[in-house]
Amino acid sequence: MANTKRYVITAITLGIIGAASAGIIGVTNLVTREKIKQNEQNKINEGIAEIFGHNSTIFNTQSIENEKYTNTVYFVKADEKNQYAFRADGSNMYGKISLLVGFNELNQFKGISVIVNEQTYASTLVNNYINPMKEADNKDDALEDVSCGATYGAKLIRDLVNDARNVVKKINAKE
Amino acid sequence: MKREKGQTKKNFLKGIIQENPLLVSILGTCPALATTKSLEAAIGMGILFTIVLLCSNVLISLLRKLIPDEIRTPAYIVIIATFVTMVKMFTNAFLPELYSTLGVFISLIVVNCIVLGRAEAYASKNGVFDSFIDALGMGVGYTLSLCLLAFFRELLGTGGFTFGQIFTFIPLTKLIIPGAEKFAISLFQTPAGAFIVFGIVLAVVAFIKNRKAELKAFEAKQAKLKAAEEAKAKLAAQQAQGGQQ
Repeated sequence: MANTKRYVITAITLGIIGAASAGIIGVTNLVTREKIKQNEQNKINEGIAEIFGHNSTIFNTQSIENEKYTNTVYFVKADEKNQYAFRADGSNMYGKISLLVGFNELNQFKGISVIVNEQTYASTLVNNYINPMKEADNKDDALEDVSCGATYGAKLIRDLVNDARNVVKKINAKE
Repeated sequence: MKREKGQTKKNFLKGIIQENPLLVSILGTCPALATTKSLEAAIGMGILFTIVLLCSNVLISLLRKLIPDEIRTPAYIVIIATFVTMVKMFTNAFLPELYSTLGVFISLIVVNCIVLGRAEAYASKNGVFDSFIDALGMGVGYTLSLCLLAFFRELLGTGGFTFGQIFTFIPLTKLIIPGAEKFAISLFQTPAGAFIVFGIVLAVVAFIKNRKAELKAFEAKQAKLKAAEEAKAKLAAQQAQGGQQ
């Protein structure tokens, strides 16, 4: 009987602590959600400007869904041409990464911008893979060169970009 | 309960000097190596860590009599995880640059052994005020250690310091030490450089500790010798007095 009482008290205590924690996190989420969304939108706008130049504008967005992910394609007007930016989210055992991948009107890979980088080797990945890719003359070749200090993360990025390319190709085919 | 005079100061200072979590207890080394690339990132990590440690220590101390022994550790982990999640969300909302710089290491504060260690070893046995002071001391001690590593890594790796990149509310300032930029070694900005700097700092701390211990031992030996000499002289004086009589 004494044991049962002890088990009940233990379970109730842990339950109360868990519920209180969930409540506090919920309230914090409520307070910060809008600001986080706004920060993310700012990052997307900055990313679009980084890839397509400061005179680019988003004129349409489209949500893409398949069994693997739900992502967004941004239709961008830059240099009087219709171009695309694809939001690609992915994760591996080193954490999450979200990218904005840009393609020109000929479906050629134009540039890349990081929106979220929660990878353990975040800065190694940016310094050794993403930055050289941005600066490379032939971005497609640079995309395949994944021999950097964070190869695993670099492969994830390559796969995300290739995924994005396929989606953009499909959209173009439909049009 | 009456507090001893100077106990609070001693409690606070122990986290900074005698029981410094990073340089003496060698705890929390993962984020220390990963987030000390720049002084700004180290300060940011230190502040977030201190906030989590302060909040969790205070709450655990408040609840210490209500939490049954069997579920102590899971309850502490839930409390710590809650504060870490809150800190993560607030950082993401209001300091996005710091959030993206520290990345996964904000979440990893949950499993930082200093936080759980202080909860188990101190907050669960002491009052709220003492736990608060203990957490403050440990947090400040950890932050200062991170800053020490970051100071050398940024200086040796880039030849100066940059402020305003992470804390965007301050104007972007680059402090370049004249001539140092030419001799900057980028290795110190890499994980290998972090290990080298950490090793050197630990060696210096160990040297100081050993010197102190040696000095203490030497002083004790001197005092013993002095006491023996005094006793000998006293005995000789007594014998001389006995002979005269």
